[in-house]
Amino acid sequence: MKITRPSKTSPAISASSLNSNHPAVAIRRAGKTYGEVEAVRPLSFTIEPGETVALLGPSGSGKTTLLSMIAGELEPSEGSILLRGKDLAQLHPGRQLCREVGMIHQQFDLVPNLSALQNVLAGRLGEWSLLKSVISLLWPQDRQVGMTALERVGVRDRARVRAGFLSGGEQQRVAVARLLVQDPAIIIADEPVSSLDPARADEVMGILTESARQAGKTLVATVHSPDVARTYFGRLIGLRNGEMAFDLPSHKVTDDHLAALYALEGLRDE
Amino acid sequence: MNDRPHEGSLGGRGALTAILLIAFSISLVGIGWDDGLLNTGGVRAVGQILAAAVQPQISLDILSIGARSTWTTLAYAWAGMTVALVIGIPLGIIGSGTLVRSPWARRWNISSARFALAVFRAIHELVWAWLFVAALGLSPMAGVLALGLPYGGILGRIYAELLQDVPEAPLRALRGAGASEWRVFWFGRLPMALPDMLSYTFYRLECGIRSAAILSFVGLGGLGHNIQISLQDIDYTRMWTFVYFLIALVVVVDLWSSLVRRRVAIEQG
Repeated sequence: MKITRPSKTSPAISASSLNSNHPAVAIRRAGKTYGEVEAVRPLSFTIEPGETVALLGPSGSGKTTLLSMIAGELEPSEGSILLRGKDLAQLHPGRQLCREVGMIHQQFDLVPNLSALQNVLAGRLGEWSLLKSVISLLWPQDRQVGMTALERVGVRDRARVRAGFLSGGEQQRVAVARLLVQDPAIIIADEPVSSLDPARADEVMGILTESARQAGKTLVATVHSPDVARTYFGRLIGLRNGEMAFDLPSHKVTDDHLAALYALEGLRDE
Repeated sequence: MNDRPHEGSLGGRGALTAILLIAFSISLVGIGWDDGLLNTGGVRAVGQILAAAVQPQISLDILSIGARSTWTTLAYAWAGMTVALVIGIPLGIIGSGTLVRSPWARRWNISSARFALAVFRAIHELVWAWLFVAALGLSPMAGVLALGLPYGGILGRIYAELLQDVPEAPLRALRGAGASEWRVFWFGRLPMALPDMLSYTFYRLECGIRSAAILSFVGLGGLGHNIQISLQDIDYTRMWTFVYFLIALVVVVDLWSSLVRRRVAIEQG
């Protein structure tokens, strides 16, 4: 699938994510070791604004570690990571980081007792004053922003339903809508559809990648299924034993690449 | 079942049980059974009380006294719970240590709030009642404070634990969206803990009604006071009328609480 550039008339694009000469993500010999174990060996690559990148690899390949470092949840043992030219280590973990990266997890990260709309509006918590946050619990503020985001992921009619009553697929859609409201430059997704059945997984992955493209966001995700990754992402990075196995546009990734990536030999050597 | 880590000590427990049983049997021999240990009229009294249970007095007079004293007891319980909430909510929130991120501040919050709560809780409402009656005289305020202080201590302790025990993943997501701990509290912790907090508060209201009835023995009026007077008059049928009022009050509160709980209940998935 081809990467579509965000159109300049799209209202959802934050001004900051457009006029920047810096790559969205620049990884400079960043690695992570736990004691003797090298989870990710120092590697370097860049991701341009608007790219959709899937990290692939068998369990223990280091893809989740790499993703967590880009999200700022994990500090690299060496090297550095720049987000739009700014050193990740220098960013304030709360209000500054949330403008750069927003994260979506496998599941269970909505507040089950709040409505879908309120969960989506929680994407605003970094900007709202405390008073406005509290008022919003009873009378949702910036309601229109939330409803627009819900509309975009196709669950506008579920806005008043409490998140705990939504199906797994609907919950992930709401989580995507929350990210749209948070409006970070980069969306990080940690196996966002692995808890869903295949049909639902396809749907949600389509919505996630399409929303990211429409809003001009950079998307970096770990993906379990190579087929899903090839269908929905523009660029695939294969990781194996903490090293980069390939870094290719998705249409150039062959079955041979994938067979080598997931082959069992070599893993046993560890 | 893996919560029986001491399989090997079962034999020891059996031996201990045997020793205690033997000691108990020996102690029975030492009791002077003929010296009025048992109230020989007791059996008859129990019969009278049970017989009276099926024929409570239902004269208009008694019913109106019953209704009024039910109201008094409910008012005491309600006012006491209000005081308890005023104490329990803030101290419970501080005692959960969830509003601050630094470990030092958290520990200080938790230990200071929980110490205050423990002091309120350590003293039973009857003892508080004696203290306040001594200080304030037989005023309604004495009863309300006597009920409110220990209940506040109990509520605060439970609130603190419920607020600590919410699932972490949604909170992490809120922090990822840039929310401070205060906002995480309002948008994540409180909504997730609220159903259990409400449920426990209703349970405590029921307990409060019972306690308010007991406190009225101290002389503060209400159902307990009337039950006591009826007992002194050996008028069991009248006593049962008031006991049924008390039971009805607790049942009504229980129904109300299950209605509220159903509204806030959430099933995952």
